[in-house]
Amino acid sequence: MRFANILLALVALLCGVSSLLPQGNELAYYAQNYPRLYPLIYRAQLYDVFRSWYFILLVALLSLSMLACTASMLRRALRSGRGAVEKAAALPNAEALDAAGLEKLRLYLASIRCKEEKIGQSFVFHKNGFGRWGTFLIHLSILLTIAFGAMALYLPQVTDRSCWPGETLTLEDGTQIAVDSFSMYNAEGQLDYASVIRITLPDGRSAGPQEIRVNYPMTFGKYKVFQWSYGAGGAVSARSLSTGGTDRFTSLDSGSVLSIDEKNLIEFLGVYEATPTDGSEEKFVFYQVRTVRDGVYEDAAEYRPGESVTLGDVEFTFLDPYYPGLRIKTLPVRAANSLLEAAFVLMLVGLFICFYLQPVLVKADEKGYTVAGPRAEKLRLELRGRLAGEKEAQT
Amino acid sequence: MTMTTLFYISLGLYAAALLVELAGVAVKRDKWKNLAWWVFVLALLTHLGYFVWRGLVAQRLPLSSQFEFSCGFALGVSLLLLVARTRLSADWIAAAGMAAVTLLMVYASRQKMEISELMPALRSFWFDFHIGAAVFSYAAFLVAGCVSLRYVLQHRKGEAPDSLKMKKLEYLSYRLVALGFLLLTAVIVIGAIWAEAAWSAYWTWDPKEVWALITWIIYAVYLHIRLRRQYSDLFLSWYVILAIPAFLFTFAGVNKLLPGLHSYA
Repeated sequence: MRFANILLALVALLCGVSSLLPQGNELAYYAQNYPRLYPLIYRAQLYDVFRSWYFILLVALLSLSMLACTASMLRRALRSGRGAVEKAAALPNAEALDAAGLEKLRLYLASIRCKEEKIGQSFVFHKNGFGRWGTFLIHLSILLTIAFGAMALYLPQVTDRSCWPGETLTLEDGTQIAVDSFSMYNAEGQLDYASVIRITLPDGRSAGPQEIRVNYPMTFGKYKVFQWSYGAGGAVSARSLSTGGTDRFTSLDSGSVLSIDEKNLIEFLGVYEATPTDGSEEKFVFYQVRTVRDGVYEDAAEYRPGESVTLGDVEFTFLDPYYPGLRIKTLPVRAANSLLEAAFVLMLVGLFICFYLQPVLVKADEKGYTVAGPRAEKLRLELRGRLAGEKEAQT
Repeated sequence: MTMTTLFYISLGLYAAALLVELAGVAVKRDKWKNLAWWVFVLALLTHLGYFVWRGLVAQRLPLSSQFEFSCGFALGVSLLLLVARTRLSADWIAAAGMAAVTLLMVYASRQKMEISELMPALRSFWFDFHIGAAVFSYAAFLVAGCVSLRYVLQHRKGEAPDSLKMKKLEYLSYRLVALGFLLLTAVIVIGAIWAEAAWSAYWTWDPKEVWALITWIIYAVYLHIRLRRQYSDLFLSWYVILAIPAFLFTFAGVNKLLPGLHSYA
């Protein structure tokens, strides 16, 4: 346990050191911002402590130490469980007790719902036998957390992609993610980024449409798609008035020109967000474009999304300029997440058992009593207070 | 009366309770200490009223900003003090506890108080559990520190370490650390599950996460050394007192000094 404590202290120390320095930046960042410390930062890999060999070694040693500890706890829990009541009955008394005291003790132990068994001349009171498994469960769950946590952290691949509403992303394996729509505010007018997406796997299976929002990703196949960010850019649809054919143009840069006959065109200047000076309206976005009509330049004009301008045979409609950024996480072992979360639950259950369901094992006879078991401290104090007089119990 | 006025009334009552308590300790008058306690209870009720009012206005658990969290943290400490005093007859805890609550409320009063809309990442099922557990975890560690302080002071007065009184003090400190540790584990675990849904990774070595882990390790080492009884109760009490800066830094220092994913808090 002392070795484990030293390892834990070292992990805490390295965590503290890592928080003094921004982690994971390019080396040039440290050379520029910490020129004096740079040789140390570089040699000791202080720029990425959590991926350094010494940190990984520490975690490995800690895991080994815990593995040994868990095994010994398992042995101890199994051994202490076998015939525990009979063994307790054979224990010598630790404190003296008279007949009145025994009755007082019996009443108290009955009030905390202990079972009473008479073995020979002794009485054994017991409850929470499974409480002896608490520390074992905690250590086991921490080991599982480290193992499944490493899988859940390092196995998935994560890529960030943006996609305009109405367009489709094709991933390396042929999986397609289509974005049907994107909105930035919910029905109550709160900022709430949401995309409606569909996922189609290479084998033809598909899911959706499903709305994804921050905290509410969509999982399908080995993919988990997160609403990650958003961007803004020019997006225009063009419709031919004579044929009715339409086309969409997205990601327009400043200076982009759209034209069919070169006599009529729009030049995209930018898309901006503005707040009205009279305070009558919330923020709005507008496009600034320059138009050429039948070869004649017109003044730059502003258009809101949804508005149109007709130039020659083509009607240009300005679209919503926002598009979502999606984070796509590939999960090679999907079970790792579930197993990790099961380990979390086990840890909480283990801690609860360890702290609040401690085993109670008391042997008593007409001469005295003893409190047995590895974690009988609370009961020892309680009985000492109750049986030795209230005066001593006062704090 | 505005909501902010209620906050300041609560802060004023806490400060008044502390002053009366200290005066009671100085002149050794139990009547004054009783009066201090009832002023403290009144402050707690006002504080609770303010917290509920703010929650109704914000339409959420008011624990999202540094002000709200400090205010909730102080409320958590007050509630634990109430339990300690009424259920465990630990009236001696009042002075240190009142001082801690008053300091937390003063700290809260220096933060931005306006109610802001929750950012999308915070609108989650896990929010209430993650932050609520953190409030009570820190509160338990702080009250454990107060209990340990009492142990150290009693030890200096010459109280025998083996007396039932001292054993119970040390045990109470341990129980509070155990409660705080269980809740801190829940904070970390719930935070990890939430982070996977929001940021796609269970753990990102963000400064807040790192310092929560450091705090967790510090208390895990305490639980280990206490289990083995390698050190005296006095050493354990000092340990709990000296661990206070760790969770206080996780609570406030990280947000102020170390930018990261939790910087909005």
